[in-house]
Amino acid sequence: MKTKKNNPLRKLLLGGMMLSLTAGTVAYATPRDQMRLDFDKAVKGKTVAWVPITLGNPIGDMWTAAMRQNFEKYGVKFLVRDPNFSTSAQLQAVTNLINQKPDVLIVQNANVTLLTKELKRAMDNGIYVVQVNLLSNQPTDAYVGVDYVDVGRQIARDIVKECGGGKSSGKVAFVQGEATATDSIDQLKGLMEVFKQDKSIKLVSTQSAKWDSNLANQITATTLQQHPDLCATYGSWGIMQQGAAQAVKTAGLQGKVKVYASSDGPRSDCDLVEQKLFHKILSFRADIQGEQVSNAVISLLQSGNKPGSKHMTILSNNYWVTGKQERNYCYDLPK
Amino acid sequence: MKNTNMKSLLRTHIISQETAVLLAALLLALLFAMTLDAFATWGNMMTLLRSVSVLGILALGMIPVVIVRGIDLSQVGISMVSSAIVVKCIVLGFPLPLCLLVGLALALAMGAINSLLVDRLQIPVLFVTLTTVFIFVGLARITVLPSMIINLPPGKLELTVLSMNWHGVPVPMLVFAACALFMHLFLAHTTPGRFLYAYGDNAETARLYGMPIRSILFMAYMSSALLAFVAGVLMVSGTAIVDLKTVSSTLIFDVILVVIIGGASFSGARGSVASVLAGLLLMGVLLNAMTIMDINSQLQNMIKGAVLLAVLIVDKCLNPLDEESARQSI
Repeated sequence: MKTKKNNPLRKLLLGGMMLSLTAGTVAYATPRDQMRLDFDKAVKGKTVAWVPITLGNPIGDMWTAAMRQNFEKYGVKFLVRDPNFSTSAQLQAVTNLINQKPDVLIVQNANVTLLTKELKRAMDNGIYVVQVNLLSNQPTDAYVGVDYVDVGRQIARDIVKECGGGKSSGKVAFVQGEATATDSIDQLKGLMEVFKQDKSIKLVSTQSAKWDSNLANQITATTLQQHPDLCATYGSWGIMQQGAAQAVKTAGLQGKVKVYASSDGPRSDCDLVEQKLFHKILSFRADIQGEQVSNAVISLLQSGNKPGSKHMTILSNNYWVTGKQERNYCYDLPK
Repeated sequence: MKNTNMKSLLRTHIISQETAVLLAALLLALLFAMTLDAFATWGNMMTLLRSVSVLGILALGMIPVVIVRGIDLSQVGISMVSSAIVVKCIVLGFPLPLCLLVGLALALAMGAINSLLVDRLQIPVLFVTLTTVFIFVGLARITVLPSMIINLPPGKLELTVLSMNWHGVPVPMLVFAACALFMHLFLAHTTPGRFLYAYGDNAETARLYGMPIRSILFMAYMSSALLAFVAGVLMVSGTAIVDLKTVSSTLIFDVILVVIIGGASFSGARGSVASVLAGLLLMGVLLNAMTIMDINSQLQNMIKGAVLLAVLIVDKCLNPLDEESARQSI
């Protein structure tokens, strides 16, 4: 007598039920599962190309490390080119990359005009374009960065608070990077907007130190001789302004002349605040900005938009660093 | 006629180029003293001299090379790489004297490579030093200096003592003065120093006279490397930071500007410490006044370029190249 357990018909029925159940699972994933499946479909295996102005400085290395970490996690192929401060090398790198047709191109513009035609060509070729920290004359799919005019305003307001209204000589020096660099121009614009409202503030120097701490040192030493009663010096980049801070120290005016800097947040800038060589810095933390860039890329890949059809802006936050308690607003480069 | 008289006056060395440049510097200084507040003060003079000390030390290193009809475009590269190695060594926790020795040895090694390539392989010096600067910096970057910017660690700032004042006089200026004295004694009062001029004047004749040609070139490039190292260490002491981007700045052109303005010539055998001092003073006065007047950097570059061009034209009139010099000049 055959038992129920060994009935071949029963086995066939059970097998069929199991098969249909499995097939049903694949066909009808839960919404939560589906989100990840769609994400992977949109992102995994895509190619992202990144061309900064240079690597080998804290901001470039930190951005790259943050992006790489994110892209590797999601299975995105990440291409990096280092033009080493050469504008012609940057233009060439971008041209070559467009010909390789990555899905997304990220650039840090050296100036507002250099890459405009190539960025347009990239979008016409179906490549999403993200610009970092300096917007060129060509709007693209996304801009991730700092509002430098506002940085200028924020620092200027603090300077007015500390030096204005007759509290001091009101003399302020601004140390620019390159006089033609947009971030310096924008910061000066914001600075002037605020300074115009307080007649006691006198901008006594706007020399360009060409991003060089040695030049910032020499310029500041000369300015201090001319204006020993200088109230504040403001540098458009922290690492360059370290030279100005040392000049203030050498002149024996540490604590009397307030040294401000706009900063991307490398650890050395926070160290100088803690050593009282910098009075205050306004930091945007390049590691957080690297995350923002990665998120913008991931969003574009999932958007389904035609490259060049929409323009998204993501602004980075700025954080004041005035002492040890705010040292978390600086980053350490990954080992 | 008047022009010819002036030329002959200059050629007979009643007014040498150094003297003319020195006079120009003093006239400019006088003009700025009358027109700019706080220009003619002890403090500003010391600041002026402090700010040109590094440039002056590099120019002192360049002078022997220019005397032997050479040029060292890798000088700033050697300066920055060797000083970056010193900072990296300090960051790694090694004692300062050892780090300085390592940096010095590296700078001298780079100078020796330049000398060997110019002398043994007979490659034109312009191409040698233009390419070695990329090799030196590139090698450093891919091996021990992945970051272009290195800070002195907060607890290890002993080196910054070199940027302080000693009895009101900036230490970098004292270092420059010591280097100038040694270089003057070497060039003007030693046989090897005189050999440099002989070689620069006519290399073939110097060879026929039995002068140690290889040692002469070696000395010139080693002097350049040695003083590049000293200048690099002083730069670090002033800012507590080393930035390899300085290699691609216009600093090397400022060095050449100082050397040529003062009276040295690419046709060789001319120039001395006095000519460096004259050129440096003119540059220092100009840079200091332009900073005080808050002149923008583009206009500053234009003024510097115009000064160099004017001096080169004067040099061309005063020292026309003979056939042999024209053939060998860089």
